[in-house]
Amino acid sequence: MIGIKLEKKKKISITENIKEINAPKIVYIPLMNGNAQNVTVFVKRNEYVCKGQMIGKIKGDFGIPLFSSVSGTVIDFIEKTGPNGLPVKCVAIENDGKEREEKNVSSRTLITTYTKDEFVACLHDCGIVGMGGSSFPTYVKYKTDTDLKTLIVNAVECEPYSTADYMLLKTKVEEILECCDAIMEINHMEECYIAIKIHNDELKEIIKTFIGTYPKVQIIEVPDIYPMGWEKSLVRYIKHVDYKNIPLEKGIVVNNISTVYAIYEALKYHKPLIERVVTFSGEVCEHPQNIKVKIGTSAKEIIHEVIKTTEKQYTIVSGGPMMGNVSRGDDIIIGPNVNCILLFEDTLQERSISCIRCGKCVRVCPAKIAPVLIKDSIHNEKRLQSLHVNKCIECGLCSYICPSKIAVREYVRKAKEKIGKRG
Amino acid sequence: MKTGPFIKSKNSTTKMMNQVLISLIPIILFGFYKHGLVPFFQKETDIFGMLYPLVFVILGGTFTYIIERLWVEIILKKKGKDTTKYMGQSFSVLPGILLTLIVPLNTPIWILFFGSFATIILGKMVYGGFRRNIFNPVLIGRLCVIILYASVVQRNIYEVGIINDTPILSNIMVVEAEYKTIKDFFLEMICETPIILCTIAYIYLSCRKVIKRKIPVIYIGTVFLLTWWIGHMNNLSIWYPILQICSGSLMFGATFMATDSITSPTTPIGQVLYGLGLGILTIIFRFLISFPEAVFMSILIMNIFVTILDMFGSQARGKVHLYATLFIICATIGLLVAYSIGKSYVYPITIVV
Repeated sequence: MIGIKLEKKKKISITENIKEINAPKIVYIPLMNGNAQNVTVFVKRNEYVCKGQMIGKIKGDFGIPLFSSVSGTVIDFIEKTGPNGLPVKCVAIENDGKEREEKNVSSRTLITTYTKDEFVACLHDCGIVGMGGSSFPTYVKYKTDTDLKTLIVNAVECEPYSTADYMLLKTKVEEILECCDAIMEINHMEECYIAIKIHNDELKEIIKTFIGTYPKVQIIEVPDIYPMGWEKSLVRYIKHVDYKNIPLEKGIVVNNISTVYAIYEALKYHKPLIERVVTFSGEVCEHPQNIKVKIGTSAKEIIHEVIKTTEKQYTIVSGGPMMGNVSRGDDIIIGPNVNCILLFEDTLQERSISCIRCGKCVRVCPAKIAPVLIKDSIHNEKRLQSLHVNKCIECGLCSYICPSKIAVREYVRKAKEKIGKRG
Repeated sequence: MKTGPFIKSKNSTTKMMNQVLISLIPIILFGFYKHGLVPFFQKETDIFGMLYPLVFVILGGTFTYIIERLWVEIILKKKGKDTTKYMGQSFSVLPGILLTLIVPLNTPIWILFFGSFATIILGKMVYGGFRRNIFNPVLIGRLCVIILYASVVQRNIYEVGIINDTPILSNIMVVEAEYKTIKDFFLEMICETPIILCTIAYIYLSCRKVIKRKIPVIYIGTVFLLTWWIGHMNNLSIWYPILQICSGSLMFGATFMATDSITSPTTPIGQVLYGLGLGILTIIFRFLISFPEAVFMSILIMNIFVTILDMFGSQARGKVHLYATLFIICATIGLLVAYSIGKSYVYPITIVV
């Protein structure tokens, strides 16, 4: 498997339990999903909303509804720094503390009784998106006529510092296994693999105590390299097949484990995606830990009240240290795909020297492209066309390994923009 | 605007260049021992003669540093760039030291100076500074030295350099004479030339992941296979290909010259084809054309094809059929060349020691 073993740095944020905190006074629901910002808004200023009420909807083929995570009054539409580090329009809702939910919420005890269409509709209506960082609407993965054979549950969590999936799996293993079994039944799948990293004996023991009830579910251990949590790497390692664009071509669906838990809550209680577990970690944190937060919480509040820092100036990163986005302001609003908020020292970036064409970036690229050649032909659009720029997954290994400390990944990003412009 | 990975790896270019210098130290000391200490203790030279090899090497490094510094001060200062920062990233001492190891030891100092000038200016600077050159600058410098040496000093250009002591066995077919087998010849060469030190340097540098590991392996492997086949067709023992890979500057050239970062391919497939091409060209130069120092010439010629190899390497990654086709074509060419050489040798020449 192509990749590198990185320093894990996970022990600092592992505690006994996931912390639960009081809901914030104001939440800012970001009107976006992934990179799509074409939203229809259904609420007005000074309107009262319930917890879990739909306040907007992303338009288009991959459309998905957006929900309020608290009950209260809509104050205004404010621009804040969204989960991708860039400014985004948000709906600011003042929390009245009552946690009032809408009536007529249907729930089922036996979640295997959904039909396929009901299942897809439920995933759409509860706004389930990929919670491992992709924000891809989950219902699109299941809305297909192709025969689905395998479900791979991604609990690898290959980025350093991040432990949210680990803590969730530790505490909610029964519910997750029940959900895997339900998804398999509803979609007539044959097998299910839970992928965890090797040498994780504690987790393996916890899962093993309950896995006997579900004979079709297996644990599979994957090597401890980055980026093992990438879809293509997992499918290649577990099923030994290669696909061109999406794993659906081979009848495989890959879901992050937090997404599977959100699916469980959607199927059982028809609860929309309004909260998630986030790891707060980094060298600057005094009390790094995992916290269950509501969507729309401002990270700055939690950092000031719960985490506390040892420095006054720091950089906030949403996501892991390799693929995360830096906040352009001093705050970040937590969206459904933010699994990690990291605080780092505010140091200057290291100076880069000239490229010596050592070829390390080519050797380490999991997508098998040549970043150094892309960097050299950044001004030559014709040549860029033939260098497979769009295969890049922006994992950051090329920038990590470069001995001259060149920001190679930024060149590939620039090349993608150039090619995208020409169409 | 800060971006990118927030965890740092420990490798750095300066460390890599320093490690190459460290791996050269045993070879320099061996040359010092061979050409300085041994003659001194045999009362053939005085103390200045003993220290001369070390002085020669240091002089080469100094010349290249001074020339680059002068060029940077005169030309780049006009453009307003920061000269100290530029010199820090430019690693100008390494080509100078490598140059002194591959030229004859009794080169006059002024010829060495011109060679350093050619290394830095013609080999690196006219292309726009560090990392933009096509040809290996050390080999360009060596070419300049050899031309001046042959015309000015007018001696046999197979004089001894620090690393190669043996007569170039390029196109002489060695057969087992009554008093000396090929194996004896090989054992003698092991003690005379720093072959073992080059191998140790290669192992050290490849463990530290400083050089491109594939190129020397494929290069030396190709030469070994093809000379084994030539020897097999003429009923020579296994010691013939072993002798061939230890003769000339193959070991040194494959470890330090062919793996020069800037002038060798960056893609893995490009590197394999580069090594293959180098092997075939070395065989042609040694046997068919009887060119002196086949290794360095074949490196210069393959430098021309590096861009094409890289473009091919980036297309063929993951597409096994493309890669296999070109590999098979090159391998067939190599085998055909070796076959024609093996069959056409009618008069074996014995070595007179």
